[in-house]
Amino acid sequence: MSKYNIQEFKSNFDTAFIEFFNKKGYKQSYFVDNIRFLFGFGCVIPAAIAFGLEHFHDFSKLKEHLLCLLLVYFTFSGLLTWWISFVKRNRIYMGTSPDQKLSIDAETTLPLKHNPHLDLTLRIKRGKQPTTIAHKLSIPVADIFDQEGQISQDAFSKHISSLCRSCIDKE
Amino acid sequence: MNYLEGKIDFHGQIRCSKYMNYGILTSGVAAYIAGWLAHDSFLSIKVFLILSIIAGIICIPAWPMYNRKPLQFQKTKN
Repeated sequence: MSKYNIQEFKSNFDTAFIEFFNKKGYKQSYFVDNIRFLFGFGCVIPAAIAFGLEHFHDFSKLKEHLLCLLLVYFTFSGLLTWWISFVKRNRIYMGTSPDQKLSIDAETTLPLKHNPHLDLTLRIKRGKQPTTIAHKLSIPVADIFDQEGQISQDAFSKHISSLCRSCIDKE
Repeated sequence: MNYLEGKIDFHGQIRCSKYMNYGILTSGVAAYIAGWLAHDSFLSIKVFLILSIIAGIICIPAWPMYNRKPLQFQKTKN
């Protein structure tokens, strides 16, 4: 019985995509993920401090301190939600080419449909130019995955290499 | 034993999701109406539970009707 797990297909594709560009010598940037972790810790630390303070002291004495910690928590929580929703979105890869001339930014989505298509958006920025050029590719899931839910390396390489030739190598 | 593994194709997943949503909605509405007419909130809960179980029986197992449109994937390389 074939696997029809959308999340697994997307996850396998994202992993293969990241490995493909890292093998080509691109340097991956973890800036977006690092900021996300920073905001996450900004939420956890005030919560832990509030828990610790309340455990050892009386609540009535701590009201002002807990209010400050609550405000800090909600600030970081709001920033985390904004970062995940509007900055990270469906981004799977940010990297710079080996010669530092090109930076790419890839997003993938795989909505559940009768015949799902994996939508890849590749944004390319040349050097220090402010403009980015977006290239979109839509691949039917049946074209790059096998019955076990594993990615078919030949089909994957064919699609991504043709995308690279038409978008990146021309830049 | 696919009933336990629960593998259904994409077309089946969309259908199953629709049946579940409509089933739960219908259960809620029917339970509310039944309870309102009989002036019995416990009847409302019983009706909701029974209809939800029926919806669960329709949606949870991987019935063959959810595997009618398989996709032609790439061949597996051993």
